[in-house]
Amino acid sequence: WKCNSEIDYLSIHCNRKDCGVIQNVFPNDVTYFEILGVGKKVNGQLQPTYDIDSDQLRKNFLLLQQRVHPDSYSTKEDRQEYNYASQQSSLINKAYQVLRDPLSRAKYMLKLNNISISESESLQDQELLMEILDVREQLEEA
Amino acid sequence: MTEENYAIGIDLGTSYSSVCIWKNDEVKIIENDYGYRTTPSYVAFTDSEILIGDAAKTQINLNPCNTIFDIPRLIGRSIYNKDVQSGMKYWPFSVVEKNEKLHIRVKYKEEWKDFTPEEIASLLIIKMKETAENYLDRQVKNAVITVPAHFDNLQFQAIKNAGLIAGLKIIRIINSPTAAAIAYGLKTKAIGKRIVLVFDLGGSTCNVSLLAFDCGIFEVKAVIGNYDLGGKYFDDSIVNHFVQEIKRKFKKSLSKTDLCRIRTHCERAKCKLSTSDCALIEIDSLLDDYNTTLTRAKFEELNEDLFQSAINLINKVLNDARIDKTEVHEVVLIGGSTHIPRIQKLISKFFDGKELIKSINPEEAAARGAAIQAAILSGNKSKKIRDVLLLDVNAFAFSIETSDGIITSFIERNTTLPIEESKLFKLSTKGSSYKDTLDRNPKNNYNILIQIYEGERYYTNLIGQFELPISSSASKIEITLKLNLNLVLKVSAVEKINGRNSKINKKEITINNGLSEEEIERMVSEAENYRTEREIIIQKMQARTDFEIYIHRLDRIINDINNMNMKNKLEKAISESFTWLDNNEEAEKDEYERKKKLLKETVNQIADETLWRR
Repeated sequence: WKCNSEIDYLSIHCNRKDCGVIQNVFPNDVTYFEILGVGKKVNGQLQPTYDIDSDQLRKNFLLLQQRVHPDSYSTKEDRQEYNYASQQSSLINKAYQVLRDPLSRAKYMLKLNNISISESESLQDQELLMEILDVREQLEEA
Repeated sequence: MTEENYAIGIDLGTSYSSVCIWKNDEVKIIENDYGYRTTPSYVAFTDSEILIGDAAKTQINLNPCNTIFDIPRLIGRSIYNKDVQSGMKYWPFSVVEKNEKLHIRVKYKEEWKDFTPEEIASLLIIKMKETAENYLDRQVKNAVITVPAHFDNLQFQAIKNAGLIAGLKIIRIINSPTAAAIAYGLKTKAIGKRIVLVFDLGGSTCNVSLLAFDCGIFEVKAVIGNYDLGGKYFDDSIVNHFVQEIKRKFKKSLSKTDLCRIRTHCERAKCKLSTSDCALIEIDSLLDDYNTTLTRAKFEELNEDLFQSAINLINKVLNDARIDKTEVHEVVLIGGSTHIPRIQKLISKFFDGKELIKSINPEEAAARGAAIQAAILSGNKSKKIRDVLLLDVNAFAFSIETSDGIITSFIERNTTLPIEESKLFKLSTKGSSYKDTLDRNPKNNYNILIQIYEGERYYTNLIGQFELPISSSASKIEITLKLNLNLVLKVSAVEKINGRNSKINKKEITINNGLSEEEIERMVSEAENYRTEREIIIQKMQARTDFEIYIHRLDRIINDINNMNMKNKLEKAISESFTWLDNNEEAEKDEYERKKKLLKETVNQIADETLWRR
């Protein structure tokens, strides 16, 4: 937005070496899996999957935060950069919070597929949920 | 780093405060004008001046009703707060309610005056600021401040306002154990992931932070705080024990001043018991010089329940973070009360005999961490801190109550900041109690009341509310909570028509229940007045001391004078000056300077005369 050059899909900072300014948050259709760089690679794109490497997830989260955390932008004169950093950081926190926990990760995957469950429907049984998800994956692969 | 954003780190403790700065690639703790590394968090009002720090604490027994301490327990709270109520039972100063806000009533210059806790805190902050400015020889405008972990949103804002009144911008507030963890982590740079628990037991709070260290990143997993635990409460148990004993043995009731003195002695005894098995308590002129002894065993017995609740707090923080105690790599102790051997023993036992880390100075660690964070935020490019990043969390949950009385939780405790949460609510006209469904306000079909709560289960506190007007075609509304790194909470709501945001019916508020801008402005100007007053007094004292030093110097010189005539004359002049000083305790700066000048002239005259006669 600052130097008006095209920004690659999923990049946080401008690629131009003399610019490198932090960008606005991703469009709405980017999944948390894509943001945190975890999931199953299909045709070069990260597809949601229940089975993720939690160490990799954490590592990616920390690396991303190191790049976007507003603390690194607190002396920037352009407040817009600071605001973008705050938004990016919030989104990454949110994504990590959802993917870190198996139950919320599963719920998020269901939501991506337009299936919503509310807590009143007592699908809290984690084992059952995981079993269903496993079956789903097997079905997909079949 | 530019001049303007040079920032200091302040630890504003219940009992002691300290100030640190990042300089020449390391943290430097700054000594106050008495040469001490910590300054008592005490403010006293007298007939002539305001005393802050050591000067205030040393005179507490002479002036108990006008000496204020325990400010972190009062700031940002209402007089009906449970902790404030329990404190009022033994605070010698009086706490009153005025304009629905808590004030502290003191006698200053023979007049009753009410101060807000923010104002008192600002005086302490000014003291720390001046300590730093004297050392750096330049103005300081920004600071990172540490507070106990149980501080809620209102208390955070109150601290920020206190900073404003003191002329300091508080660029970040962090929990004291978290700050200490940064200081500790930077000192012991290690590779790989480590889980560190910091246990902070101070004057009247107990705080625990659980962090993961990883390549310079400090990720806070969970924090917890308790304001019913700390050194003051251990003193309380001893004081109660002896008051009961005195009542039983001597049938004497004790005045507030007596209690204050007993407390001072009990505190000393407690500190002594950290290194010896037995402490003697001698209190002059109380029941013909009351003497007694306190053994470590008795002290431990009196406080065993309190010690146990400290351990429960550790257990709770581990549960919150879903981390097993065996996964904890290091346990770091900070805060004065962690010197107590029984506490150390209990914690070590809890972690199956783990060696506890006591290598960092418990009284200074928090301020050191604050200074490191201050350097990072002011853009310091030092290699040591370049990669350091603190991922902090919130200590309180936030939830929304909509007009149907259903509370929807938005932001959980221990969520990494900053965070933004949005939720969609369906609208319905009839009374349904489905989750995520809102009733239109029965009284007004076109308004929806949104109430924001802080806390969960046993402790919820309404911190803000607003009404969102909605049009009849709206089917949903979206509520968003944004919590930034300084715990500023913004709540916005917008109605949705056919899935799109309405341009008319939307609202955003920032939660602020603290002081209004006008109130802060007034306090800033008053604080400046006090400052000028204090400066005048300091200059006055300086002039008086200069004069005294000069007289004493003369006094020494004349001892070696052989000429009796000259000696007599000089002695006369000196004794006159001494008499004048004794009779003029409260003279103005000019008068001291004039008198000194006069004496100098007289001395020169006498010397000239003697010389001339020769």
